[in-house]
Amino acid sequence: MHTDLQPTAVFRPRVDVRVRLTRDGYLVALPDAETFALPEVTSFIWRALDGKRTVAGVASMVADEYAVDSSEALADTLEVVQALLEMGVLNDLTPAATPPNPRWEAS
Amino acid sequence: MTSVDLGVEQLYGALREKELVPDSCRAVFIGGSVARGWQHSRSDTDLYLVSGEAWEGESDGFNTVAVDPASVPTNVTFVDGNRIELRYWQESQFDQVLAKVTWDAYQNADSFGQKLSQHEAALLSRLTSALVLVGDEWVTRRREEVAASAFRSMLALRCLSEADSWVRDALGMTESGDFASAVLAAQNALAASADALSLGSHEYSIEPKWRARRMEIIGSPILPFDRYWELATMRTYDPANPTAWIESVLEVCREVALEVEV
Repeated sequence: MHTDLQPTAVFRPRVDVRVRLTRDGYLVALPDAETFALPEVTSFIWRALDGKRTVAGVASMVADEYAVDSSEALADTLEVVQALLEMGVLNDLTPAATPPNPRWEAS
Repeated sequence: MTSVDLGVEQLYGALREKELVPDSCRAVFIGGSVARGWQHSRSDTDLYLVSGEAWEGESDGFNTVAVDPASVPTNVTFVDGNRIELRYWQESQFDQVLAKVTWDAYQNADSFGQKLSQHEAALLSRLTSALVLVGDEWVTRRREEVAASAFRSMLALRCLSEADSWVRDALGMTESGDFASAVLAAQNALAASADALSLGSHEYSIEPKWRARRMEIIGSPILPFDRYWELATMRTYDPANPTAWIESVLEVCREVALEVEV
């Protein structure tokens, strides 16, 4: 579980998660697992998680799409991403933090 | 020379002279590559003749179908050196094919259209882009019925499921270090995804040989032709790092599944 989910984190749905776009939105299933329907906002976030945008970037898209303020959009997006992480359907592609320069550490 | 060069009226006249056209035809149309203008110098012309009664003339073969009656008589003839393959469908057979692709069948019985035989699927697919010789009104009405049916969704779901299966294989083979097999699985995943994407754009043909044509025509922003072709021809494949190419293909497959409504 990601207890320290950050707005700077970057995720993408796993490629082995089966997705079907129906008239009623997305149906999603992990291999050998039950299929479940994604609610509308979750579907939007699912699409936006492209392995390049940060969670904050996705939240900004949510704010524009649903005309909500940015702090509310960020809170909602973090909540949805957290739920998806707990379901194990996302890959974490957050770039590794740059290691500290040893010369600076020495000084 | 092809039947298009020949002219449809001239072709129809020649077939009537050879007594290869039933008297009570609801429709006569050319399907396949010739109808699309994709024919090459060795292409056959696929001609469909639909009538209210069974063909009683001579035939030199038949297509097996899963409707009643279970066969469609065929004839091969030549007009000005052009090979013409004629298929004699009865309208009642067409109705039975259409009954297999209802939304009710899709939602409750046969989502993948497995009850649809190859010849039946080809009939519906080719009707959507047919070059009509006789029966414009019949063809227009039937095209509308096909467009309103679950036919496209059935084929798209079939392609997406096939792509999923290849993706799963490609992942497993990569994980076990069998990169050669994984590359082939990824190629197949890409092909199935490209077909699903074409179906999503209402290109009903799924014949592999016309995949590049279809990808060019649909101009998908998700998978533009140049990108598709770069992957299909493996231009970015690095034998020293096969995983990078495999992963890029699988990611494309994931993006396609997000776009194609079934």
